[in-house]
Amino acid sequence: MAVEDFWRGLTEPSGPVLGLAVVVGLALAAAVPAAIDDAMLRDRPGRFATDPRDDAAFTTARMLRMDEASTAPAILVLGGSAVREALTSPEALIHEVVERGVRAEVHVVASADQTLYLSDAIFDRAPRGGGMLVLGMGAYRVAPLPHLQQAEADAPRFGVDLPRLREHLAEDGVVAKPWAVGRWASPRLSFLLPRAWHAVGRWGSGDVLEATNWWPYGSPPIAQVVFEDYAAWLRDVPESVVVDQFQAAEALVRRARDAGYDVALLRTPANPTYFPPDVAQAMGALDRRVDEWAKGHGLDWVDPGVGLDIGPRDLIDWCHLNHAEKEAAWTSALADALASRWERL
Amino acid sequence: MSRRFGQLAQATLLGVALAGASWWLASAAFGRLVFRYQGF
Repeated sequence: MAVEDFWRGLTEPSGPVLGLAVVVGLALAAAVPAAIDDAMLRDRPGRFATDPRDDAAFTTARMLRMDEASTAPAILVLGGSAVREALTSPEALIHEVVERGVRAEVHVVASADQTLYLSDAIFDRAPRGGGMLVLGMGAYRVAPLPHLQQAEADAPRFGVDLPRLREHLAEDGVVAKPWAVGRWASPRLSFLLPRAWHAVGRWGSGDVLEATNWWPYGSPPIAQVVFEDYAAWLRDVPESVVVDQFQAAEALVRRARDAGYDVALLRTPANPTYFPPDVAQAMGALDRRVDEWAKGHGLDWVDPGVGLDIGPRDLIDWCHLNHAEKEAAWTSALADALASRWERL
Repeated sequence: MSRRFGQLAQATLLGVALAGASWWLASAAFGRLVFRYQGF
């Protein structure tokens, strides 16, 4: 009798039951972003990543790891995809630095299209015990693509809030489009939305993705025509863009020094023959400005590529290294440079 | 009493299905929108 009653309750359609179901469903749906906490994104980004190249998922985890860091001195490497691709992997660099006996927390946050605005915002999450900041720098960083600012405003890429990035964007009057989800939703929600089904599909399977570099080794060079718009942009970069990026870099350097960080710049591999001569010339002029700026601010360069015989064929375009042995050598050379600089501090 | 438990179970099952469907729909409708730019 009791079983029959239970079955009737379970199967009979009823208005109040449907209403309760709607309440339960909406509550559960709303609870998902709250139930996924920082620890899950930090420790298991491979569960949420759309694929092994999901830069934002792995970068989110790396930023969250900085939050967890103690107040012990830290070595921080920030930069864009040029740094990321030049490394075998961030973990390989961290391993090599620790192997050299350096007693510091090491954090490598080198992510896709990292503007200097973004580097400055990421530094906000850096351990507060001081240490050493090595910042990827070059022409490509002071002339970021024009759509990047708007893209950051429209749809926050990362699962963490970066208030300083919002400040920088607001200073430039960059406003998100009204329909942009990221404008009104939390960064966590806009981070989880596209990843929800990847995470659900992988749950319990033990299938956790490992981050990889963007291009598989041996990929053919990217046709220059792909970057035609970028080349046109580089020919005549608006001065205001360059000035804004230099200002962000300046703010970052000042804040890092105030927080007890020694600051140096990191030169990444480059292929100046990739673009037509007039574009290469424009980039060369920007590189010289970066050099002057560095000198004016008393900033040293760390250049792990010296003596590694990295040539145009080793890069897939103008700034991304794609060669297993040379990436391993570059990673080791950077670990050497970081360890010896750390020792001298 | 058993009937009440049955109704509760029905509401829970439907609720879980609804939550899943909401996320599926949201992921399909808005996921691409917020994921359209990731850089490389």
